[in-house]
Amino acid sequence: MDRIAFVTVVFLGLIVSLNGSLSAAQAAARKGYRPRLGALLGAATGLPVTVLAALALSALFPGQPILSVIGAFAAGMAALGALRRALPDRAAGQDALPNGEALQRTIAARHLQGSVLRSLFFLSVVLAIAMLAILMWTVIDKTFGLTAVQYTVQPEDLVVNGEPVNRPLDELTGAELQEILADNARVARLRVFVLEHVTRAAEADWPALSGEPVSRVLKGHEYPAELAGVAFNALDEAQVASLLALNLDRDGLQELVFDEIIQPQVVDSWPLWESLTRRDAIAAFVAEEYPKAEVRWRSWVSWEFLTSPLDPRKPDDTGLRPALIGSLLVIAITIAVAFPVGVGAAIYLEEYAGDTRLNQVIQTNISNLAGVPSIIYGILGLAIFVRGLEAITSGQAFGASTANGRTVLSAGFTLALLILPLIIINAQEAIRAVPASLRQASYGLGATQWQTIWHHVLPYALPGILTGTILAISRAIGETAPLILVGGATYLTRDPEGPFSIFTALPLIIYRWTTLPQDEFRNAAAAAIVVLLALLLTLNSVAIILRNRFSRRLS
Amino acid sequence: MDSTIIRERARTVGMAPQQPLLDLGKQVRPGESVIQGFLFLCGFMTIFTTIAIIIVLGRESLLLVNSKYIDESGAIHSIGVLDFVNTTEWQPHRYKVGIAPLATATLLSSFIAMLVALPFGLGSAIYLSEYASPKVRNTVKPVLEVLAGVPTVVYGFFALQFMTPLLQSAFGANTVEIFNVASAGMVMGIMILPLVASMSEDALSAVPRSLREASYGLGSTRLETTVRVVLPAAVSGIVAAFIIAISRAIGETMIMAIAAGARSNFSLNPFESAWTMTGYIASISGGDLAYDTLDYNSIFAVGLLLFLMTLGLNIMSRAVVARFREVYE
Amino acid sequence: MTEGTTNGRYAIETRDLHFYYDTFLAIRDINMRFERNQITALIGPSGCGKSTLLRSLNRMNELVPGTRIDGEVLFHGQNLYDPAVDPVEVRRRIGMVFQRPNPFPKSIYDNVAYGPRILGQRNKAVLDEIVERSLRQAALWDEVKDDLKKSGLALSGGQQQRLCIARALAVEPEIILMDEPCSALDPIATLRIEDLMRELKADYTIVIVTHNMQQAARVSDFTAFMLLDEHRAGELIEYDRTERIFSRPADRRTEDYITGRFG
Repeated sequence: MDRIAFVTVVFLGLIVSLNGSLSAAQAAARKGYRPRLGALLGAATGLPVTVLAALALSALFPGQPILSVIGAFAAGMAALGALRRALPDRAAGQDALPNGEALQRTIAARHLQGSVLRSLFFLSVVLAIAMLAILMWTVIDKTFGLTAVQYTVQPEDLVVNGEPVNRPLDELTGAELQEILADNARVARLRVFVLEHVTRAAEADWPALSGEPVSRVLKGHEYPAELAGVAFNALDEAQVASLLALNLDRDGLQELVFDEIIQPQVVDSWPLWESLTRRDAIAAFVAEEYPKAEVRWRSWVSWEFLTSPLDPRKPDDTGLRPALIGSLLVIAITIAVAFPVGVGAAIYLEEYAGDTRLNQVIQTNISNLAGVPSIIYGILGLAIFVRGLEAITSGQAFGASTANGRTVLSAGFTLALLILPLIIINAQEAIRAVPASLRQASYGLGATQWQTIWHHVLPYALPGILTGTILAISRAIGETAPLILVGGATYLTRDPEGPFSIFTALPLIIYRWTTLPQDEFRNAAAAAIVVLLALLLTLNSVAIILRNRFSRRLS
Repeated sequence: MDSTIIRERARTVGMAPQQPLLDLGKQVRPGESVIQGFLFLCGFMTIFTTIAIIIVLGRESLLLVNSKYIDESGAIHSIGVLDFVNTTEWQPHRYKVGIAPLATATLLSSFIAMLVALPFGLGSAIYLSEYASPKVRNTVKPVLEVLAGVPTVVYGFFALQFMTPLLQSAFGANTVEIFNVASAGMVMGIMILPLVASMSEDALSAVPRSLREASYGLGSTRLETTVRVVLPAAVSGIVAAFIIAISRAIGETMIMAIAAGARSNFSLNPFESAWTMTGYIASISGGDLAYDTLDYNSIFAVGLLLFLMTLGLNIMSRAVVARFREVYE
Repeated sequence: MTEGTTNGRYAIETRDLHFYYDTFLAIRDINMRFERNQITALIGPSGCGKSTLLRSLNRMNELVPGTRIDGEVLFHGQNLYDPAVDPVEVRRRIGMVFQRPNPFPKSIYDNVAYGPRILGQRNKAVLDEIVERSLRQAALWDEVKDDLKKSGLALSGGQQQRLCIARALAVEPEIILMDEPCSALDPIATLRIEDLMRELKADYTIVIVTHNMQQAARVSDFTAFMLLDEHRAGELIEYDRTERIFSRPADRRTEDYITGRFG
């Protein structure tokens, strides 16, 4: 019998046993036995009979697992029924309703049933909590741990003027570090170092900058006067190295040598639990498999992680910056659109709208929209914002030069439509909670409807509205499916800049990294999840604090 | 009255004789009208959204069955409505658009999710509503809210990193593929559990205390009161919760996209990988999808089916609450 | 719980009963003996602890967390609040009818059969018999016998209350506690229930809380008058045969209450 069927049978057998113990307890009490005895008999019959029946059936009818499973279940239940009937009746001359001893037995059986089921209900709660704990642990397990770090160039292989450098990096002077750079990296790479670490130009701009003179490329930074007019890509190693030395301090040069020349690279990683408990075994493994590697502790979430750009090939170098900026931009647009429209709609529905048919339709419609899956909103955004309104969302109508509508603006609008129903429902509740006496006081003084709303109703309802909005925003931050549909990228060479940029976002990056083949990208994904959850936790805490202040004010 | 007397009176009051003493007529307030108009538009925005959804999904789906697609060899293909039901393969690039594999995978994953979410969600609700002390309730409810607030992409990660290895060690790595419907379904169930728990708990709490007192007064145990009196009284709310849970499961995307796999698979084996409707839409989209290809149009067709299914379920859920609302008094 | 004799003169008695909601003393020094097969009424101004006392008799007050009791409630010679005593058993023997009728949202049949079913009785014939007997005892049978499947909530207020009485009778209690059973009913329904009580006392002991003095005078055999003392704890002022209380009350305060001078 195959494993799946067997596990199913065991599971069903447990259910039969449970049912058996409960019903047999009652039957036992009715027939004059102690309920516990009945419960034991029922439990002891259920599981074994079911399992045995399954084995028998699978031997008789091989290749028919479904038949065996169902048959086993039926057999188990039948056995229970037989047990209940077979129990000899010790209670003589029963009254219609039990009294005395019989009553006490029945009550004992009922209490037994109560305890058993109460444990089951409690188990459900425990399961839910356990799942949350396991989820958190799974993420944390992947965020910290030991890594095997291998150097592309061993520190002892560094050469200066043909001679190996035998001193640790810390002891080298700036001039020596500059030499190392010039001697150990090709000029093209050195130029990249300048562009990346000194001028911080975006990767997309590097090809264009290469042809420019040094004075343009290094505008605002230090460069030797004699190099000012020279084309950037005509420089040699020594010259580029000197540029580096002029603009970075000694520690910066050392960092550069370490990161880019020595280039530590993670070749293997282990989760937290293993790292803590099997340290020696890991060390031994690394010594054998990666003789040149060092075992180092690593936290995959770090400041570098938050501020570096994306690297599609190297998980240990990749960063979250474009995603954070992208999420920020998208959410800004989402709030800017959804908040006023949502609150406005709520005000209309609560203050101005009568009980007309149209308004009931609007109300029902909002409830329906709240339950529409988020991917449908993505499809909507694709058709309307990305394609239909391409002129606007790509910025071409405003002179910007994005190729298509897959921009921050489209994403922002799409998410705004998504959370609009949530904001409306929440804001309606907050407005409804404003006491009628407040409104009446305002009207009594001769204020117009809008004046009443603006000066009295809204300020009173504002904390509640804000709480709801914050919760809607935290929902929007975690949404991935609409962003996929609207064309969010999973690799960007440049940070998103404004509403008409192509973009990526935090949940998109998590999606990408989770599904890439290299295992270390899942470490990066876990680190990104930590960032996302921290962000959501902060937002929700703010919302809860707001809500507590709000309810304190009411009471 | 004589006009001379009026004028006399007006002069003593200090007002010009032609003006009435006090104007109580309705003032024109253009500002108010503008604001009210703006607010009405905001309210109407949601109607616009629904109409847009219907038009977009409907139009592109119609385009799907009305267009002629030309493949690389120059052959012309067209899709009829019946093609959705009489093929069992979903491979748009080969012009096979049988919806059965996608629909089956969706229903299978939702079924598995319900196996987790419904019993444990209801069990948790019963415990919290009928058994737990206020202290326990106030500790557990936030935990459930957190569980509900975790983004679905994180659950996808969880499915791949924890659930799939667990299933593989339980049932063998030969039976359980790395991407499989069971793992995604179970994690989806965990995600939906808090929804079931909270809606059911609301339904249970809404049962008036007097019914519980009546039951205890007759000598019931807590379990009997819960199962024989409170649960039946709350059944409409609980059934509504179940229906909403199914709707949520059908519409869930990211867990499926990450953990359930990406191939058309018309099978009931949950340990194989399969495209669900939502997983397909997510897989096929992405930066370079060209407009008006079969792939592109198929998104809308599948999306239309998805929309109708979830909308239907949501409406059914509200109907259940409205029609079978228990009258207690 | 011991069976004891069912022939004692007193069905249930309290000794030095004190009841606390957390630290607040609600009733104190209650010493009463309720006579078997008689109707005893508890009267007094609202909030004086009548309901608290009533609910102490069948341990219904335990459903509220944080309550405490001092003293004893003796039933068949045993203290109901002894830790060895199961409240489930207590409530089967001492039934209760509430102020607002609270039938279950089930059929009339299922309402009355609820009690016997949880006691394990599953035989349909036996249940049919119990249901009919209880509905007859509650003077409701003739009005509902044609459609027992109808929902209990579809009945009028007075009928619902009689249904609740039938439901309580179905488990064959010894004592029936009634907490202002007619306060939510119209006068005609009230009179019917009062008639019912007079019939029932032949087989059951009845204790009724009422804020309606005329009702107490009409229906009860014994009356107990309670009042709040200076610490807002309810105490028993006078307890005697109803004729005596209403014609020659021994305590001045009783007389003031009965003649309407306060309350």
